[in-house]
Amino acid sequence: MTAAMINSFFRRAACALVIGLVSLPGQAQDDNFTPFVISGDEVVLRMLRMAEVGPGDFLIDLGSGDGRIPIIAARRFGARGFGVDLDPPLVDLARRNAIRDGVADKVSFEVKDLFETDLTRASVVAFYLLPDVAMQLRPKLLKELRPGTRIVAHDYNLGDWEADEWTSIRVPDKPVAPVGISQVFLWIVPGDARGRWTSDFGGQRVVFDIDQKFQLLKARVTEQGAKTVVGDGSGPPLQVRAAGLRGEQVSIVVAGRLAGRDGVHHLTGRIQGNHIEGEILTGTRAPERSAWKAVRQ
Amino acid sequence: MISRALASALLLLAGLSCHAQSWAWDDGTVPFVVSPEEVVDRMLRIADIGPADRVIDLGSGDGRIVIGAAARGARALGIDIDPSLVDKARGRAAAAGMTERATFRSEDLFDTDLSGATVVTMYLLPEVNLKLRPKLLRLAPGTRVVSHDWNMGDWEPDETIELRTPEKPVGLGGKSRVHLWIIPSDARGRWVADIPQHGGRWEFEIAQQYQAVSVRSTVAGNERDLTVRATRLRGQEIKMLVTGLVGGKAWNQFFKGTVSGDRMTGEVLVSDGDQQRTIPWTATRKR
Repeated sequence: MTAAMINSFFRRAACALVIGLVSLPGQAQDDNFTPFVISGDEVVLRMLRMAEVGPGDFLIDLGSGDGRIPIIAARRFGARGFGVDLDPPLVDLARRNAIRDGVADKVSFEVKDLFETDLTRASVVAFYLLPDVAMQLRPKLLKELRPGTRIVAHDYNLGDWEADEWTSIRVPDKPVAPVGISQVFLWIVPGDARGRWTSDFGGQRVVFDIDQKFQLLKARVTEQGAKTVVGDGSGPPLQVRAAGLRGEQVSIVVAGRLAGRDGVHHLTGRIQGNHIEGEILTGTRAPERSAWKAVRQ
Repeated sequence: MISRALASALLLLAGLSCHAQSWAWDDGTVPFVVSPEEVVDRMLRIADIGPADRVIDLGSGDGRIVIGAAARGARALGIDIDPSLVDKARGRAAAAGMTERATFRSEDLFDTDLSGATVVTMYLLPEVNLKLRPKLLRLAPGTRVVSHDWNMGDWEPDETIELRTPEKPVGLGGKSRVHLWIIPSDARGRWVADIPQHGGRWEFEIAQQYQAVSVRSTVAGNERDLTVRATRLRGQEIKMLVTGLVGGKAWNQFFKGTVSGDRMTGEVLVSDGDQQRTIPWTATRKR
């Protein structure tokens, strides 16, 4: 963290103390304006670490201010990317900061409305926007971003799309509400797991019915042609204990008898179109590994 | 990491929540807990473990935290009461080529000498955390304490990560939490600083519970208390954001300092919104 950045933060913070404290979200929205408040470097680092930004990443910062998120992503983590901001002097400042920090070949900045920004290249999207703006942005995020893309946000969340990961840290030098504390949220853009999937476990046909809301799954499992006569040795019906989705990675925990083995089975696989390919871990102390495939009907 | 205490708790939880389907666990083993590698990763990350660290993991189970810390260059010691788990952990450490830096000992974690640690990690049970708390609070200021899922009662964490772990059948309903505490310095009392370039004599009256500090601040020539907007005590590092009239003019002061014994030293950034400068400061505690 350079002294210049602290100073810059502090100057902005001081302005925010004078004008920012009255820029309540509702008022700020009235003129369709998102105020410029810098995310402190401690918070930026948490955001980038949470998104696990690395050299292979392309980061887009929506409302990039003085450019520190793309710049730190490039300088510390080797990522490339760009930032957009509506305010031309801030975009100039961000460009100068990128040159100063020697990352002008990796990151660029543009005067642009974030709603008109093409997000399809992103592997990581970052923003620090007011709740209303973030919610307006949500459909665009879900539409344009590939499954597995990470979204990190400072302080404001995406409504009923719950975060995959969340952190809080005390930051005394943060002058805007909520004063003194910052939250960072991470979402992984979910793939599409909806529908009826069938798997064959050595002749045992099993059906998974999956409902999905964002990354949350509700899964049911049934065995096709299962005998239900008590005492026939087939045991109780299969049950889903848990199901999750992270990008295109689906995981289902099933209890009961699968492929002739009783116990708890942890199925993980990657959704590719209407196919899932992955593996099953069965057992507790020394899990056995086998292949898992499923097809969507 | 999964201690014997936790293992029995898992059995208990499994028994309580799934009594109608007890057949699932009728092989008498602990239910299959999906290896929370991502949780281990967050524990190592939140503590920012590096080569300079000396890590002690309480309830080290199969050794994965210790091995993960060693992989980040730290020297790490795992403590588990179960000798067979210690053997297993040693085997895993050897397989990972980490025997130099990842060591294990079978003993009761309440008997373990924690004094050399820079980081203490744990995945225990709430009441065990609370029982450990007095011992942890005696660690050197700046020592990091990391706990999976369970907190420390009214000692709030400095930082928390919550992540979705839908496959984890125990704990917080498909979520895991990783908490970080940083052992705070003792900053209680009345501190006086002389800053001739800005205001002259400053006084800070600091009350403290754990790492939470509340500060009253006054400066020469202003009879009213200044406004302390925010404070943070993180280990030895103290930050105070103070605004108010200094020398007849409104200023922001951002004090940053290190608490060491009865001295605080650091720098203060003063700003009126247009100009700012940085001034060194030292405060001493008046007993």
